Amino acid sequence: MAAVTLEQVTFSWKSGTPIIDIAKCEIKSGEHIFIQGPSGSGKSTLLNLLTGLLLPDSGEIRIAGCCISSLSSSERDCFRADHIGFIFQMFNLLPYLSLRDNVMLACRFSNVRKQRAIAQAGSVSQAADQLLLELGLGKQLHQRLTVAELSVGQQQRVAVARALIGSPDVLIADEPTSALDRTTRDTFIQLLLKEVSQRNSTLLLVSHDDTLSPFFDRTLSLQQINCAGVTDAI
Amino acid sequence: MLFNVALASSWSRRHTLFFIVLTIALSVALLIAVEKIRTEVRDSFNRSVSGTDLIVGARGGELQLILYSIFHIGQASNNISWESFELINSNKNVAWAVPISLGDSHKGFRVVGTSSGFFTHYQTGQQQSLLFQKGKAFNDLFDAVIGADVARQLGYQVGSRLTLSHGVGSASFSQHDDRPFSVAGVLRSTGTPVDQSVFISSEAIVAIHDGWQSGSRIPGQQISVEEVRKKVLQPKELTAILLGMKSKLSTFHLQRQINNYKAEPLQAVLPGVALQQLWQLIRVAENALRIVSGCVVLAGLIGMLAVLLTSLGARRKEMAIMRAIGARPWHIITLLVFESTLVSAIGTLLGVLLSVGLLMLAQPVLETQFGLFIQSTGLSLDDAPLLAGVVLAGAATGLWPGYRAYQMTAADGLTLRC
Repeated sequence: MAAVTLEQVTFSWKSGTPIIDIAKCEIKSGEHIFIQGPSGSGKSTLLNLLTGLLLPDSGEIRIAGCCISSLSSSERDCFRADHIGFIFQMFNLLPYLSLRDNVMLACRFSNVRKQRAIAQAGSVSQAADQLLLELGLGKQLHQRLTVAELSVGQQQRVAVARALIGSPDVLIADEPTSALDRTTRDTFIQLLLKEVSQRNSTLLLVSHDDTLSPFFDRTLSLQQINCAGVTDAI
Repeated sequence: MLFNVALASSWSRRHTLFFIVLTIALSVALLIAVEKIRTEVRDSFNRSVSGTDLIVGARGGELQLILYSIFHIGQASNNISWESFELINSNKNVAWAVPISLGDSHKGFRVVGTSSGFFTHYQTGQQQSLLFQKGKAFNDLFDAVIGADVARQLGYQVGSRLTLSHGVGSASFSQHDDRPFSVAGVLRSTGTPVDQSVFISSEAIVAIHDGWQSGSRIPGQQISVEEVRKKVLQPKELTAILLGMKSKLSTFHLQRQINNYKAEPLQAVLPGVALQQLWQLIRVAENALRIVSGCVVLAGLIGMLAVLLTSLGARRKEMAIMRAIGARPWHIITLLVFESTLVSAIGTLLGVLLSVGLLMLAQPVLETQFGLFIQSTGLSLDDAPLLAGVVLAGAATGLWPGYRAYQMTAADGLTLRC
């Protein structure tokens, strides 16, 4: 079964130059995909389309069997909360919340993920603690460190915990390793892939750094699948 | 659930928000203080006279009559004859009639020539009769009864001697220094103009003006105190009459009779009706005060709006994270509205405490300097809608930044990298 399907998807800003023009792209459920593309290849736009923050001008985007491009704006928000875990490049966390609260935040907007977390670990906070432990943040959790006291790599791992809580169908990561050094990066990617595999989630990792591609099942070059082939700088 | 997040977020920016809370607190404190003083001024006027059914004086403005006879503000346009007083006093519906003669003063305090009936019939506040703090009503011709403020400010006690001045200025040139009075009684504080009055008998008014003509002493005519005592001191004129009726129903009948009296141009007014006229006059000033304090609150809210809008720049990432996790637009708007509501609610609460504290501090000053009696510095239920209005306006202030924040997240999407 396909986790993500894009068909004849086009998108352009008001200026008219198309940024995205993808004829067909299918990602199977449980696949770990590396989407490689230099800056300006439409990565950001693609991410906004996949998460439902932008609507394509034409074509269909299906995630977990649901055609999100035909949903209303608030339905897409709900869908994102229920089915997609998102990891930013950096500064993923709200600095005024504890590590646990940051992880639990994902369940505040999604009842589906909340119920799933409770079913898996007994309660949302236990699910959060369990994930933080698995991601090697037990000490930090125990010492009640604040977000500001964590290293960038540790912050990114908390972000992974938040993206994973309640086992969403698809995990989307936007350059999550760009702020990490090589060793931390490799540990981070391996940990991420391990956790994603355990939950049978589909992973889409977007980055310009092609040295990451050996870690993944499959690499998609955005320049190849995107016929728009623009070199804009969004 | 979202509220905990909003609370934590606001707490993390508490240093900025504190100042806007302070601004709102100050504006609310001002608003309440103005409301308080407004109602207290009104109360203090309303308190000044009670139990009196009619006030009679020379024909003129109704408001003017009550102002000079009760509040000792301004002068009587004309005196009325003693015959009229006796005629009214003998009316079968009149329970009591008290004469009021004004025109003299003592060190800036008005002298009221009256009968001892004043102390038994005149009431203030909620039908409270006058009480003596010390001493008793005047007995002798040259006895005086003084109000609480007079006693306190001039340091007078029972037995103190005082001389009166002709006219009402504190720097009067003509002195009644040949006819000294002694204090027979000191009245208890009432929070009304009574506190600032010196009471002597109507006969004493005649006595001190014996040998006077047109406001000055007749030269060469010296009459000793003993000679004055022997004279028949029948007043010929008086300034006003306070009336109590046997039955309230006859009040209007007598009022009409007095107003239509042919022998002398008299008028009778109901104190309540005259006070209503006063309110109509004062309302303009009251409204001006309210508008000013309302504008201060508005300025506070605009300040909050500015702070919230400025904070959005720093909160872009926060909003983007929320949206990525699945927050709907209304979550974002709620976040901002919650903050503005919180800030204005805390500000209002602080403002209430501040106003209570300030009024407590100002109470003695207001009383001694302006004769304004603040009965309770606490909050009255009447202020509740006003305060709720401030909080509500504060909540509404958050809508605009909330909408802006939503627009921002819509434009940023997930692309914001800071």
